[in-house]
Amino acid sequence: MDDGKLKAPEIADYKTQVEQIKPQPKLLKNCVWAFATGGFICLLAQIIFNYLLASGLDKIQAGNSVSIIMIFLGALLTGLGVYDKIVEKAGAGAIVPITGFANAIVASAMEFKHEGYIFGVGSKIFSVVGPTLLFGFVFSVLIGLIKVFINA
Amino acid sequence: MPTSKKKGTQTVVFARPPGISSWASIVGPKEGAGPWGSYFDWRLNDYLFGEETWEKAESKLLRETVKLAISKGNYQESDMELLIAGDLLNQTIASNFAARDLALPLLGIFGACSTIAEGLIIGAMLIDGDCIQRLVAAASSHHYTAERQFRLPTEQGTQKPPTAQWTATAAGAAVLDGLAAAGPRITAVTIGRVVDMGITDAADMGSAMAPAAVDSIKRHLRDMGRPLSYYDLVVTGDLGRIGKTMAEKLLSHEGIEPYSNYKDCGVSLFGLKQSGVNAGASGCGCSASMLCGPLLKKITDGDIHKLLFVATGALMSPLSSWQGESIPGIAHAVAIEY
Amino acid sequence: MISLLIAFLTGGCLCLIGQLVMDKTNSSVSSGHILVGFISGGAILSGAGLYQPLVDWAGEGASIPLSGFGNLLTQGALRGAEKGITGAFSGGVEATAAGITAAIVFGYVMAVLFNPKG
Repeated sequence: MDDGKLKAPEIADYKTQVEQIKPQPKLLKNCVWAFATGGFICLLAQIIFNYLLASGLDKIQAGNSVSIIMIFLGALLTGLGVYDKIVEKAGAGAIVPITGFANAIVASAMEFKHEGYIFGVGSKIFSVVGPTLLFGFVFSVLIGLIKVFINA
Repeated sequence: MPTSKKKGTQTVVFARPPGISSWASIVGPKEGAGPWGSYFDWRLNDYLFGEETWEKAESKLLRETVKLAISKGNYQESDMELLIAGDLLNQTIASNFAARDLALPLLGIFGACSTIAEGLIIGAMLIDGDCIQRLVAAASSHHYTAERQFRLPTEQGTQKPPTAQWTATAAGAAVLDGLAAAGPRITAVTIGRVVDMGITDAADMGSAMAPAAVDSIKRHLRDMGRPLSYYDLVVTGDLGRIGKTMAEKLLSHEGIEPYSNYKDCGVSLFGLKQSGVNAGASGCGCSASMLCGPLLKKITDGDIHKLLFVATGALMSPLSSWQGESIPGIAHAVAIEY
Repeated sequence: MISLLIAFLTGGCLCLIGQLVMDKTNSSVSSGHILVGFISGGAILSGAGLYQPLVDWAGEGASIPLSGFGNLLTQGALRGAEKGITGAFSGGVEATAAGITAAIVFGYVMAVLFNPKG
């Protein structure tokens, strides 16, 4: 480091040294939390689904209703300031379920209230919904089109 | 042709070392609950500080800290000829808006988390250069303004890796007075170079900044012809636990040993048991509040006579991170003696 | 009762995969990346005919993770594709319209009602 300019080997060596001392995430603990929380959220959804099915809804109606209810719960818990605390512990267990999707939506929308309701909240609400739906749409439409061509 | 005050390659030694005549620090709830809580002037109970937005809260945090530093030294606001301030927000709005209310001439600066040292260096030079007699140097950071600018919306759930650091909600301000009778003085400063060791992980800024810190320490010691043990305490800004370990490795690699008198504000500010803190604290307010709280108090108490304060900064932006750029680090050294 | 247990285990396993991806890759993988990854993964597996059987077996355990949302999109597009090209475009959104609209409307309402607490 003497002449001021850094040499490539020094940089590579430094990176290796950092990797060696970097603490790793507590994998087992994180996985147990993720599994239990993710499982619990799906269990809750299944209870609601079974109840709706028993009260006479068909499978598609019940499925849609469950999605709406879970999205509502995720959104509400985000508004109340609870959901980010859950994710801190549960990690992917609370990110992967649709409640985590709702959390990302509400969090990014709520954060930009003071920047205005139209181009603050209104545009930032899509900062997570946007890319997520985008890739969902692109892949599903592509697969649909492939099917059209196979059928034809 | 070197000037009479320049020593070595990057160091300036003052002919009439400016005194730090007064200082103040205000910290957030988490910092107040840390091991140094009682050393800060005010500990806030919440992050909004009675304001509507976090940006306004940070600006108020900086403004009130400056006011407090002025009044603690029995000065009037009008006694101050200049405010040198900076923060982490885009276009340093916390400082700009604080200066608007203070009606002081402003030099707004940006050195990421090394800002307070940059302010002290510029200020000390202006005073020793006989341009200005009294000024305030200040810096602030706020956990939630930083989160929403650099990372994610505050309510979005994430799990931070163990290398991540918690941006401190804190501000520190110091009054520099060329006519100060007694008290701690800035005797020499070393302006740091930008050092980039190719670290790209924005969740591990300590490792990115450690080489810059060691570079500045090494150059300061060489320019001054001093061993590390000349100082009772050498303290870096916000390297955190991983960055500090890397800095220690680099120090011994450079033959700068022993470093038992070496500490880091990012490691010290929070207690080990505090949740969400992971590798320690970061942010302009981390080193600024530690200096304008515990460190200067310990100097006036006589626990520390010679302090080398090396504030560190990571000079990336969200944009540069998205573009895959590595994180350049900087560190400025300020020698404070009493 | 058995449906509840299967939902728990399947949902747990899918989240476990997400956690492994987060912890085993570098820390630039954010929660947004996980969401995008799961919806894309679900959509593609569904196109390969692998995800719908999982949903049929595990119910909400496979539907509630965001991969289930991707599956719903693809299944809709495939049903629409039976009616031609237009159907391939409209089918996905038709199948997921309730969820998408709920997410955006509830998102906006909550953002108006609440303030971030940090």
